Amino acid sequence: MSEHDHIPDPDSPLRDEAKPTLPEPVVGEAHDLLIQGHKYDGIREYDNPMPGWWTWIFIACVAFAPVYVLGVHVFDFIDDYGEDLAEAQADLQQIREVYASTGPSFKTDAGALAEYTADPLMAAAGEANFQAVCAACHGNLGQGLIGPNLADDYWLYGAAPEDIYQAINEGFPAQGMPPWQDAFSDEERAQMMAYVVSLHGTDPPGAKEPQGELVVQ
Amino acid sequence: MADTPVSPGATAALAATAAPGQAHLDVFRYDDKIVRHFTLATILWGFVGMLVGVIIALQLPFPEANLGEYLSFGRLRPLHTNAVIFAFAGNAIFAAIYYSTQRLCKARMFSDWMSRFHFWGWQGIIVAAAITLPLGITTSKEYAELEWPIDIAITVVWVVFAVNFFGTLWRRREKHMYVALWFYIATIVTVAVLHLGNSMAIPSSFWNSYPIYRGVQDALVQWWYGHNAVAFFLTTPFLGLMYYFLPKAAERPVFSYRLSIVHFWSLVFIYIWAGPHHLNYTAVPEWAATLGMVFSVMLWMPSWGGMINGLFTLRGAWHKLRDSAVLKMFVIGITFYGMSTFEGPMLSVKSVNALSHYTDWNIAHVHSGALGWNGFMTFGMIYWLVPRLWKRELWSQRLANAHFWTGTIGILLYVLAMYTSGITQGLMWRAFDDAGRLLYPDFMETVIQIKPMYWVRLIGGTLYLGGVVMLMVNVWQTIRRAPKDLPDPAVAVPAISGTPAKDLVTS
Repeated sequence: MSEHDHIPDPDSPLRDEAKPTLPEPVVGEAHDLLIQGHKYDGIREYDNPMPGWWTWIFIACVAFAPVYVLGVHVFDFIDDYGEDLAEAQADLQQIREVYASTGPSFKTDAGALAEYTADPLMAAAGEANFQAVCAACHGNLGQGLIGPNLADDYWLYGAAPEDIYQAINEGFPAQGMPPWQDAFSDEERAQMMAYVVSLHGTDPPGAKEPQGELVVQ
Repeated sequence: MADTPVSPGATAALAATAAPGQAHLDVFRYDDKIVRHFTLATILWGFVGMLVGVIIALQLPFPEANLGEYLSFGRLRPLHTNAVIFAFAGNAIFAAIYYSTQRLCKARMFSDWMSRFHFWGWQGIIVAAAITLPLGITTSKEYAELEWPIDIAITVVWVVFAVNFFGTLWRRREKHMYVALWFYIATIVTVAVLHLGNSMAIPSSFWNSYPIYRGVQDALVQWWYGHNAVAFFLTTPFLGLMYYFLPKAAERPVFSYRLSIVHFWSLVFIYIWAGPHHLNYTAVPEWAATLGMVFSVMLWMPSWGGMINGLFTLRGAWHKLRDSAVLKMFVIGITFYGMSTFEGPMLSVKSVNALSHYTDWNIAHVHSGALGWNGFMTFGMIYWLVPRLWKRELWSQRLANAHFWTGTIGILLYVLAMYTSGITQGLMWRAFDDAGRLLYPDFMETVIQIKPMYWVRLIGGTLYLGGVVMLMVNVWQTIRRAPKDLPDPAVAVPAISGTPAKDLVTS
């Protein structure tokens, strides 16, 4: 800013009290010199340099930009979204495999599922999860709301325990029912299936009209 | 440049005494009435916008407060954001611009008629928004919800404002343009471009339209707009406000002219590219998200340049904070500006964004900006302006200090609650159990977990609104005691030959 004439600021906080007229430059640079001619509605401006840390962090951020862009999109030394996703899914797969090999085993074949429906403890254990996620669409008594009636003799996708179990697992996303296999364990879903089967024939009040085919059991 | 306040009766005499050979003095008056208008509108709409904010903050943990279709959360939320951004902050920046531009240019506003048209037109737009948004009339583009007839009205009012402002620059009696004016210029030009660009739509009826952009392009245009509404409506005009009112209130020179140049140009250049960070982890091409992220990181220091120049300007004046509610508010405002402009680049970094996106962390971020930076800069300006505009000392400094503390505690409660809530949401959504299944598969589980934080947020927001009520009482009591006759202040400055002077006081 050599084109500006400098005048010492009599109000400068860095002013040496002993020498009230001309302050000495501080830390090697001229500080708090007012820019002559810059006075706007009484507001004056110092000709101070930008703080060094500010300048260098700014330069570092600007330098980071091309490194990051080239690293992700050209030279591939920084993972992109697809790579991050694949890595996370591989981790998850490993967790699931470890769990499957070491975790408790639980049978979900058709024969085992049929046995669970005969066990009143299984049905009772499924009630809480039924009320938490199924009741919103099927009614708290299974009488049907947006979703079909679960207590009558009519079924859209089969009435066998394995059919119901599969419906809970995979849902019917096109019809608005989400899959639940990632949200609940095999045992929990089998309990929910057993609870649904236990609703059969309860004839709840406000029952929705039958949908699907008549299944005589 | 010397300017001399002149008593109303002496103006004609002063103008007449300028003898040949001497420096000729132009005597003219600042239009302070329009500044009083904008100041009162700021306070009124600030109260309304924040009251609606408190209502919707109640509706989240207490759904029974959704009183029917028109007063439900979905209808009131855009009303809250529009009222706070465009009515409260909008009127505040117009008050700042009309007050400081006249003084920095040493000229009356270009056209009194345009000033009035701008004021009443803008209030009309706000009323139109307050009616149409609860009725469900919306483009559903965030911060640009108003339908096309109102968009056209905004364009007309903004053009009149621009002509009035640039006309004043044209007639200025000051050779150089002070840094505050650069920020105002950037605001007026860029907001016009953003509004026109994002509002391009084909009307299908009087209250419905469809954007001309499709799919992901519409999303990118929307967030180019949305991000730069933050930049050029809530940042640049408030930096201009800071550069005028802070040195005035502190009576200290600006720390660094050089820094003001570098951070101004870097800020306006870099800000405009950062919008795609709002669309991280969505269907935008990954290169666009990367671009948004690196420009956001580069934006950190240009933003902090404004904070540094503000805080360092107070060197040697820190002792004044003890007695000055105005300076205390400016310091809190600038500090929150610094915090939220560090947080912004941090949130744009993809790995942070993976945790923060769609959570209440963003709500904390925008409110530390709006309540901290915009709110307290506005309140500081109002407490500084009101005694000067109404020629009466502020009714109660104690009440102004109480406003400062109530508002500050309110913001802290608000943002701490939302940080806690946001990070809780982010961590719960991504948690897996040891079988590799989602630990909290049901969205409702996270809602129940953060509900206590919503109550804390409500308390914080109510405290902040209480501070605004204190401001209203203080300003009302000051105005009540003000002189009935408030003539525009007359000033005499050396005339610049060749400048078309239309604002002269004639005898």
